[in-house]
Amino acid sequence: MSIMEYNGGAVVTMIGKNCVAIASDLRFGVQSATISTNNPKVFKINDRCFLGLSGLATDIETLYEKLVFRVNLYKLREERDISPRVFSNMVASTLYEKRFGPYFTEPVICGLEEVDGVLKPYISATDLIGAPVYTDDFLMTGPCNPALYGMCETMWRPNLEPDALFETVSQCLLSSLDRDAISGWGAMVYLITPENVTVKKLQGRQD
Amino acid sequence: MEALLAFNLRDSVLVLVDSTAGRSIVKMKEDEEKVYRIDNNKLLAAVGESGDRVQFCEYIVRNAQLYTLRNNYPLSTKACAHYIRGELAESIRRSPYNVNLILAGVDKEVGPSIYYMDYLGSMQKMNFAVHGYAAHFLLSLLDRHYKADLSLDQGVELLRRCVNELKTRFLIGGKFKVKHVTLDGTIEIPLDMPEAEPTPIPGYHTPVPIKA
Repeated sequence: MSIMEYNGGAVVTMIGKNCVAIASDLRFGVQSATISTNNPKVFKINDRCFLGLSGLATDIETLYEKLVFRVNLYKLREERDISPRVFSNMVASTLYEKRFGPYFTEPVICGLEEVDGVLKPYISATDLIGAPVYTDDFLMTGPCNPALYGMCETMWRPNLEPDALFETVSQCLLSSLDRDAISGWGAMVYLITPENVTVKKLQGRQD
Repeated sequence: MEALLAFNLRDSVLVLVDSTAGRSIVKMKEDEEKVYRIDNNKLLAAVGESGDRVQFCEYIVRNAQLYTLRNNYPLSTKACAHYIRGELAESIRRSPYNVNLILAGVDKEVGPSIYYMDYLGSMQKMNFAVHGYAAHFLLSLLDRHYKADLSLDQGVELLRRCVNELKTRFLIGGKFKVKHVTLDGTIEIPLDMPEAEPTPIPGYHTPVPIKA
């Protein structure tokens, strides 16, 4: 029984046309026992940057608090909001600080990055010791990974409009959750566009 | 294995905790106090390794009271829960405290709240929570019978249902203590379980002839 699969959870993020979506399931459990069904794993860093964390629940909370602390210091020093690319670097180095006693969580970062005055979608993920990966399609984390890979590879197309992206992310996540025993109980989907951020709670199979 | 259960009522919290202190197969004490009063409207109920339980809970209670003395203002339930979680999360990688906790509190603005914490430092704010083997029996019962705004009588009735279930199906039995947390204070409530008349079992209560 792996420590990364102790509490369960799934997070997925996808890039669309001038938008990103990030979604997570809502289950908090201890191995096979479900304790809570209201535990979203996506956190807002600022209007342009979101963080999804899966893995051991205690480390999710600890890492999130550490990162918020560092982001707040960044904001006080730099007098501006942190961008997703810089935040991604901050996450990677925070995790590597604990290289020989790591936080058992694998983050996914998504947001809108300002490049030459234009907002471009940006996603990245790291493993539990901070090895980053940057792609331009989709990324996922959690024990639900294999199922999510299959769904996302099939369903994703480049340049999806926000509505289509929302549908795609939702369907990919909901179908994958059905194939993982330790994730599920609904989902929370965040759709981030340059104008606003929409949050929707999905009702999936309640088991 | 120890049972710990708490749920929200309309504007207060009920906490049920077993009061057995034992070691291996021996029951040493049946009126052990496993609930610690943090202040007027917050209770910390803990189950687990008894030494860790006492050390950790007394440490938390004293630090919470120190905060009140220093700042002339008590910790809110949410702040207290996050503080406890932080202590647990730090300790798990140093010298782990093997205690599972429920923090039950009532605040004026927020109302009643329950924070479920396990020994690793995972925390969830919930409407009802159960620790230990009792969770396997009682979570589904509470899913079915718990409602959002129970009165005290309905809450105690639900507690009796839970205790009955444990008495019927759980291998390890014992006495329980019930605490009621309100905005004005915390009191202990007697559970008053009526002794049920057992259904007469032939061969046990009445003789049955042995067939030749």
